[in-house]
Amino acid sequence: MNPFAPQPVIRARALPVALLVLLGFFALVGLAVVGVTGYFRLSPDADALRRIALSSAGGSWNKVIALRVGWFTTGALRTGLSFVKMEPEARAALKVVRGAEVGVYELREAMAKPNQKSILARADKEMMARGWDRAVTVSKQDGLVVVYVSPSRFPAQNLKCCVLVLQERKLVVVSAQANLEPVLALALQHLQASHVALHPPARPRLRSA
Amino acid sequence: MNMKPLTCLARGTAILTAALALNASAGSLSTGQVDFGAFSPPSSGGEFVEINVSDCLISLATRLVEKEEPEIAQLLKGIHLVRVNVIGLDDQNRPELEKRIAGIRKDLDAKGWERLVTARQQAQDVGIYLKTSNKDTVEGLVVLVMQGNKQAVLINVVGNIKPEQLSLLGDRLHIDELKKAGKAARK
Repeated sequence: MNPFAPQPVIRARALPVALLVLLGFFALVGLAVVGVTGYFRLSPDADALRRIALSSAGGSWNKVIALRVGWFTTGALRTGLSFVKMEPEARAALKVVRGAEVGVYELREAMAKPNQKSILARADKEMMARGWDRAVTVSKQDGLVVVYVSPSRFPAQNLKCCVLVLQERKLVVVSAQANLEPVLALALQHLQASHVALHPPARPRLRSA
Repeated sequence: MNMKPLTCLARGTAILTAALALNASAGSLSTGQVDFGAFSPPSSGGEFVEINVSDCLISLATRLVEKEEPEIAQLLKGIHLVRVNVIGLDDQNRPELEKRIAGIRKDLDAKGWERLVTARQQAQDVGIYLKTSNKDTVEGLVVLVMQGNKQAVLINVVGNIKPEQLSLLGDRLHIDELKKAGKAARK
């Protein structure tokens, strides 16, 4: 064997360009499908709360609506509207919402009153495991309202809350994430302006010659 | 011998220990905090309200009012937690709740809480307790009310607050039960 003979070069088989384009196309279609269907699905935490409430309440439920607007859509909306002339209040309100979702469900057939105790206990267990704290609970004969908040070190910048409302034959799950910083800043500006209007700075007296 | 890995290990251990200690202290109750335990709605479908306002929400409320009402912001700044429980009474839960409230009162007495108000009028039984560290620093406030056969109210405010400021706090945090308790404390 000739040691000086050129070694065969082993090259990885390059993927044909057509295959790459096809893969890219399917990936884009997949992303678009996930993105579009995402508008009609609740986030994992809100969905867990919905699942627990429906399974604990029993009976069969119809989905009336489920809508979700995430950070991408709200961000795009904010960017798009940043070029539009708007009132500062409206702009501040637009800056607040970082994401929101709502799910409404209706009980299909008449059944016994749902066991609020069991719903609350199971919802607590699930939501606390996901890092949420129960802030408000109001339970009465005809309904249950539970508000969970996600503890944050900077609540003004990132306030997250998830609300469950069960009333008669309807179940509503609402979740929202907000940055209250712009609203607080605007409120403070207004307060300062009204303070100045109420207590104008004393004008220097003009002395008559 | 290369000391660098050992130094890194020591630093890592110190950070881990500090984090664990911090976590452990976060789990324990602060001086003015009272563990009422868990409550559940009455089986008869009576009223049940539970409100837990943590310090992050209180700090948000503080920021909202600090320019307009600095004295209220000052009051809110001293508060770390507000817990309110209102439980409608029925034949099933009344004996258990009466026993529980009596247990809490006994526990507060044993832990050195100062009993400010004890009022038994008609079917209403009100107890207001205060925890102070020095003579003028309040660390916590507890209000226990049994309203006959109607409802039981348990309130714990952790932080520097006086009973006469309860109404104001209830007004600012929009908690009606605090307002009512504040009025009862004034009487």
